[in-house]
Amino acid sequence: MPGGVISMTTAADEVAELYDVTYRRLVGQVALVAGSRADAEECVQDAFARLLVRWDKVGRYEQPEAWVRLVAFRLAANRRRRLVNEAKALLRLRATREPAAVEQDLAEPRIVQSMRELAPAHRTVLVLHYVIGLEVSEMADVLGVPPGTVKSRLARARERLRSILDLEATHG
Amino acid sequence: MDDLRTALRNAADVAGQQAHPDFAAVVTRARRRRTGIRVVAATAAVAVVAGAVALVLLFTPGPGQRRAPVPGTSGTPSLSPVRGQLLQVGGPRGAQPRRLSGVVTAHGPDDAAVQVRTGRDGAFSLRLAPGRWQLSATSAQYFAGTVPCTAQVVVPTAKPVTITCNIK
Repeated sequence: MPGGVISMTTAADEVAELYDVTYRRLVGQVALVAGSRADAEECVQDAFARLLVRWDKVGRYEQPEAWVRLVAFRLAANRRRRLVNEAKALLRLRATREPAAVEQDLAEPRIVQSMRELAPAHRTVLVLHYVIGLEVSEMADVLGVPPGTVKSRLARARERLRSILDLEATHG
Repeated sequence: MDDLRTALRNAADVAGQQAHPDFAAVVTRARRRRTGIRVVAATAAVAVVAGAVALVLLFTPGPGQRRAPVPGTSGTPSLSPVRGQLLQVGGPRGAQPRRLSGVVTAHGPDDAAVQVRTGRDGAFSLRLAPGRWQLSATSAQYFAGTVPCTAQVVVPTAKPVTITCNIK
């Protein structure tokens, strides 16, 4: 009698598999938007935790990885907004506590440090276009904004990044 | 454009080069970040969701108001009774809120401060003068009292208000 193996995968197994394959790649992409690898790791991990409870639906998508990436981008943007609001609240309360210093890794590429100076929306389009390789129309679908907005964000982000890098090259 | 593409892709590769934690540990940690404490009371509502910690206060500015001196404030403003309950919320899916005993502190204008200890069921009540108050709550049953919830609220509140803040 021929033998065989019947395997059953649960949502957790499937999400864990996707996690193993995509985690490093996603952390790298989100780090450019979040501004730090530590923040990116937390955002990607939170996004996977959310994926687990929505796997019934998201698992049927063509690219669940794109869903995780977008959620992580949004979490990174929320985190940044929260930090800005906290800083404003501290100023209003005239708190004497010093705001937390941004950790800088001296070994990180110059472009990562330059990306930090861009607005989150600009970082996002740069990553979607240059790292992930999406076209303008695809980015418009992902971000839910008109293609014209994507084009202008991309142009401004490129221009700003180039000027920062040129400035650093001049003074550096 | 190719140099920008190459530089960004290399940077993403470098940032992604680290051992990734075990998936089960990641899910557990992410869920723990969502676990929180909540304080609940009567009519109007002021809710504070604080990153890992959630604090919800519902105010009762109505009956029972009377004039009384308030430490550190001039005149005799009326005090608004605030009754509430301290609860831990969040955690695994389907987990019910858990009543916690702890301490709720309100810091008001002119350095006025009111502190109250909750009952075993998390219930508490205090009276606050109108104005802006900084509220915080801790519980020995929640991270050994080391993780406070804080929020700025205005007393009395005319209608339910939701305030959201985040604490790392």
